Amino acid sequence: MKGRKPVRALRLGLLAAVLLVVPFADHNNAHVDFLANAGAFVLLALGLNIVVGFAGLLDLGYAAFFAIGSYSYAIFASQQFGLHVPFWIMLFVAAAIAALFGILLGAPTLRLRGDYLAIVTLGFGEIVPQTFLNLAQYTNGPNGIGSLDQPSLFGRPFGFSATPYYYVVLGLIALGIVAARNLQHSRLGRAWMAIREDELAARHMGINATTAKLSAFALGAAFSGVAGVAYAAKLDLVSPDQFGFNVSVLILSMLVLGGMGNVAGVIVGSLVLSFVNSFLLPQASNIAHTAGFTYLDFTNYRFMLYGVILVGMMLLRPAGLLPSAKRRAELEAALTDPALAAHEQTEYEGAHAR
Amino acid sequence: MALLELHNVDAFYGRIRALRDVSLHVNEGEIVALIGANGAGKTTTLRAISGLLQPGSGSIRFAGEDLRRCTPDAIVRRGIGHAPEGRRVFARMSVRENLELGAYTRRSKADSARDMAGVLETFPRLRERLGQKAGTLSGGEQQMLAIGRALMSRPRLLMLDEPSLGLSPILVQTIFGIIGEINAAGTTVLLIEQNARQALALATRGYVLEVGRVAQEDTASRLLASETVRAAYLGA
Repeated sequence: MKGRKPVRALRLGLLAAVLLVVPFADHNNAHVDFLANAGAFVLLALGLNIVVGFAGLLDLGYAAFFAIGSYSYAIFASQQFGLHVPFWIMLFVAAAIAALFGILLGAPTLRLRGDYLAIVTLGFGEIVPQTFLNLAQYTNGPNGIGSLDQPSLFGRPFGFSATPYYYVVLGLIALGIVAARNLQHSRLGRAWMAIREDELAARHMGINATTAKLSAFALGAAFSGVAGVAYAAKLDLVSPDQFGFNVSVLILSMLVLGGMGNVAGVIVGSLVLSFVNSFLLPQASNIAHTAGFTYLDFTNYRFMLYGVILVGMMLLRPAGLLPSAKRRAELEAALTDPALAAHEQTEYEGAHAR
Repeated sequence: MALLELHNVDAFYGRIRALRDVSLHVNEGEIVALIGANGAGKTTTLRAISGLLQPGSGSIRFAGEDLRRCTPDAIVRRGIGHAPEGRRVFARMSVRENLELGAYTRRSKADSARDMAGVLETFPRLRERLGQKAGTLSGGEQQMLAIGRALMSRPRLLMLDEPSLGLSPILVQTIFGIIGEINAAGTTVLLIEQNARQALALATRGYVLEVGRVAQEDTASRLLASETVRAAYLGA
């Protein structure tokens, strides 16, 4: 193990170096812009992974917290109310606000499991954008809030290039990865794992399921609060239609594709889907258009494609592209007859012991 | 003074009354057996003690403290370990991970490591299976794991819900022998059993529960000899 550590550090260093020079090497601002947006979704996926992947609480309304984070920035850092809280402080404030709403949503769902929980979170995901839509005197309704404050660093505003946002998001992702991994291996992380496996048994062990679940909702939401601020500041606009059910499904699909519960998998999954979404489909449409198929617009088929991806994944690689070891074991046990699996396992291990 | 004392405890599942005025006590160092038919309220009694079910009225005191307003995790921390009905081991986790989760309420890693060594001493079979998924263990091994996991919180009182369920007669003997050892090493035991003969042979005292109330209480040997118990629970 010790011999592999320097190799790992070297690889990480190399990856970091590549990511840092991308905006210098690639002068196409559209590419950097794409990466910055994709980065925001990596943050969202990391956050949802805490709720769904670690704690096993199926949340179908996660975009609500993204909306809360984004609107926090729009309200506290624009002409709308004449408030101009700095971007850097808003990252923390929005994380706290989103976490608070995470607890507010979590509290009534504590007794719910599986599909019931999914339905309540689905409702919450619909209520939040609707509320922003209907509070028109504060939020301008469907027009949204524009002209948000530009972030600045050492007195220099970010301007209209995507590059500074790219670096901000990159930094946030790095922090997010460290946070997620530490959480996963913390005492709280073990409590989540136990609850995901068997809540009643977990309570017998002296695990406080209430605090553990609320912490998962709060911490997961905090990630999307941060992502919301970065995304809103970059886009310079928030409006209710950015946070619909499709966004919640998109983020969940990223988890399923990449491998729920595994931090690296979740990142890969979100990058792949962002790439398909913002790059592959528009490009494919362009090619089709130049080839004369003007009626073809592949971006309209994106949900069909997600569906195909999800069905395909479930059939071919149900634990995701980079599954967590634990999840894979769970799925394998669930896919085959558990008793048979148990038997085979003992046989297998018995044979190898001999 | 009794280590655990229930006084006139009532408990409800919705509107169904599962326990009526249950009073019982467990003295330090004893093995107390709770016997009775299905649905008599045995599991409900344990769930009320460990806080998983809020009793409707009555008092539950442990080492002089009132447990009624305590959350289940606080009750585990106060020293009541509970091996649940149906074992409920974490099937997809390894034996080691199961035991580690049993020590969840304990802060000191060194203490937990020592406790783990002690548990593995008591259950040598678990040592052989440390890395194996708990779901792949045999029924008897799973029961050993459930008991070992409950011991990892280092309880003063260990509550066991039907440890003999679904085990072969030889394994039942083994498990009951181990329960005796655990008790001899200083842990008080409250045991639920349908296997009344075995339980009473091991226990110091016993209670017979019938439809949610205590029908009889006595020393284990006298219950074993009692005509009514023999007729109802010992099949003789």
